[in-house]
Amino acid sequence: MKNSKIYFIIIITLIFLKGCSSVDQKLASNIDPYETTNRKIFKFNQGFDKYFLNPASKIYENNVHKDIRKGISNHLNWASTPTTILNSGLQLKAENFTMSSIDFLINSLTLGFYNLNDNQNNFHKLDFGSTLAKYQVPEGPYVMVPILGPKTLRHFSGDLINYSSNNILLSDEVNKVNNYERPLDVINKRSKLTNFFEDVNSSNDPYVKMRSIYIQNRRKSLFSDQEYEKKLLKQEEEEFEKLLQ
Amino acid sequence: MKKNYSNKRKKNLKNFCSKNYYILKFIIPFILSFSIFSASANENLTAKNQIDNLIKDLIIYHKENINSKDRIKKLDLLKYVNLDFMAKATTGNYWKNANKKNKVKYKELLLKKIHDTIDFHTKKLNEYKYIYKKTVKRGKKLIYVKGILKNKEGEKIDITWKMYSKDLSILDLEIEKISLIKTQKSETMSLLRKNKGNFQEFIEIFNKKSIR
Repeated sequence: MKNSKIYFIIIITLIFLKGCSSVDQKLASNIDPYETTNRKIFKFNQGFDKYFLNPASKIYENNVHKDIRKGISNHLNWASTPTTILNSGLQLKAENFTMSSIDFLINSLTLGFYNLNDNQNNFHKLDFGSTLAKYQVPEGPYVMVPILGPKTLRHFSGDLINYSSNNILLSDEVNKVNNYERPLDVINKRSKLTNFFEDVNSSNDPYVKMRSIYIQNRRKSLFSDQEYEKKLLKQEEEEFEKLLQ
Repeated sequence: MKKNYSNKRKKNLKNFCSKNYYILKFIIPFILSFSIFSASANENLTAKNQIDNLIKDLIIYHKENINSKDRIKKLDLLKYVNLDFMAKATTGNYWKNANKKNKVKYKELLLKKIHDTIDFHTKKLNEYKYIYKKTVKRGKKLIYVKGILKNKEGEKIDITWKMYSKDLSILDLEIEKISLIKTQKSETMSLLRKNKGNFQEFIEIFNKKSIR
């Protein structure tokens, strides 16, 4: 029953994304058609961050030793590697598949708490959102999700697929552990981003700054370094050269 | 007499070329490619030096101001950044609508904003060490100097300085592939759109928000 609900959400989202494909091309420059609603949710998220997430991350930072925090961070990173392995397979990226699998197997010895693989940066992190991008599913509009923060619709549907695939593929015990780890993951990530949030909140328009940074970061994460240079940098260079004329 | 002499010279040159054809075939391209390579290497080295100087200035600025409530010295950013380009790039098509006075004022405010951003981040500078990686020439007019910021825990932050090859001024800074110009542009354009492209009103709001 629970799974069928998730499938329903995914199917609806994908249909909506497909419907957006023509809109997506028209709105290439305007990715945020729901700005008014998004701004309201952003305000709610700012409040949630101010009164809950930020204090929680400060308690975590002040009371947990740096090395333990690093261990937790390593473990959470390791625990997310199967998603990369699975998506590397789906995207037919053999090298990424092999490197991430090796990293996952080596670090399994310590459950990822201590990183045994020096070459951990040899693979590119991939999620279901990037797989959808690979198979030409359009980016969709920018949406601000309560508590979860900024997403494109494609990224959000990728997260839903990820969540449901975990429920199907992993055992109940592992899912229970995952449910405990999720809030820790959020707090751990928030504690690393203190400066970033300060910077965003001090800007002229925090909402627009957050949107710009999220979209740049998301688009970059979809490509390897070489693909990024070919696709995104070239376009930008042409714009720069025009302005320098 | 003179004609004979020049004809003789031409003949000698022809003979020399035909005798040494195979040597010349390799030497000339080699000399040409070597001179092009050395010119570009020189350009890359100067770009790298320019960034090294900026980093040195930033470190000095940070040291001088770390214990002082008031700023001792202002960093001379105009030596390094291409403010004209940055102003144009962050305002898009609205730049054409602005008058001279507004353009000067916007550039002033933009410089102040860059300065404030540097002030905000300099407290972190002593935690990180800048390591140069490489210099890449992109297109006809751009040079990218790539480096990383590394802290004691081994965390790395990729940074790319985008420079104009003609005068080696900085056009943009990309931190973890997030462009500061693009981010500023989205903020500026949103404010300008709200004011229906009225540059004067935009400057007033931008000024108020910068003072806050």
